[in-house]
Amino acid sequence: MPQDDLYDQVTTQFGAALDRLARSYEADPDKRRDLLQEIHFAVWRSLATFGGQCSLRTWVYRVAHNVAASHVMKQRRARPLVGLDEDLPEVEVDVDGTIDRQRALERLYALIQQLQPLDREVMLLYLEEVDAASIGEITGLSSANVATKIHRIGKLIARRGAQ
Amino acid sequence: MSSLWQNQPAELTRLTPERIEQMEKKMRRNTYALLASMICSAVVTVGVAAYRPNITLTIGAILTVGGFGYFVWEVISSRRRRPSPVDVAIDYQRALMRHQMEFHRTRLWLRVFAIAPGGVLFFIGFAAAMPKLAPIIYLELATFMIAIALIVPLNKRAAAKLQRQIEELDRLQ
Repeated sequence: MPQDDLYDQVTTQFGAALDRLARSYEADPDKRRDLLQEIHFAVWRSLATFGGQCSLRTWVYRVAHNVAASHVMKQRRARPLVGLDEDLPEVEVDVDGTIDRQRALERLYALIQQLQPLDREVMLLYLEEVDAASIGEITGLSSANVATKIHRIGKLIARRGAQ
Repeated sequence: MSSLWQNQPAELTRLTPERIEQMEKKMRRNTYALLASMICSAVVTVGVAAYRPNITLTIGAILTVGGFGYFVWEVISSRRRRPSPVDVAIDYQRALMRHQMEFHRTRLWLRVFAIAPGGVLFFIGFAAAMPKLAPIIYLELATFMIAIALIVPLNKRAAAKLQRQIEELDRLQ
């Protein structure tokens, strides 16, 4: 399929997910817009070499997360990023009605933005309801590591009263 | 949680062909900007040497321009070897870190020798040509030598940090 047709398919099927991904990697609205464009540009360029080696979804998520992770690695941060197995500063995520959905999402983004790129990637794919095998295919993590990270994400969200 | 996540309002983006062309031009512009800054620095260096010529200043200017050229070549060739984002995330991040580590670890002394002798001769020659400005020029020379002396230890430190991060990634596969 020609590159532009594939790109149309990507924007239709994954446009919203790419927007959520950019929001998770960049809090500043202007920089986020630039990052989203950079992701779309990288995806568009990569589609020239897409030959069905994997599913289109896997391909798009790989490119998008890699571009976003490079963006994070380039940033100078006042506070270092943490892993899922470390103590995260308290950020309450609550969707049971005590706070509204918008605030719950803001807090969820704040939580995600503290994570190291690979943990952030697993968490985002988990929230997009990508299955564990596909998460492994996208990230390159072993199935045992994907399972451990998903377990930690589940516990983390539960601990914050989100389920 | 997933339904809250997936049902949030999203801003749908689609790059137009014009925007794609602009972004491709921007990519090329970054390289041109580096080349332009190198050419400007070379013109200033040669200009200073031509204004008050003396042998030390002339040799210093020639070596400095050569050093700039080498440095720009290193940066551009390093950019060309950047890993492709179509790899799985862990391989991509490792390749990115290895690529950065390679820059911080290889040819460090060559970088020092490409920049240092020309810079030192240039400042000494410049001070001899402009005796009234000599104290300021020697102060600049001291700052330059401190910066040069830091090239190797700072790069080695950055390379060691990246090596530790790569080892952490290796444990995840």
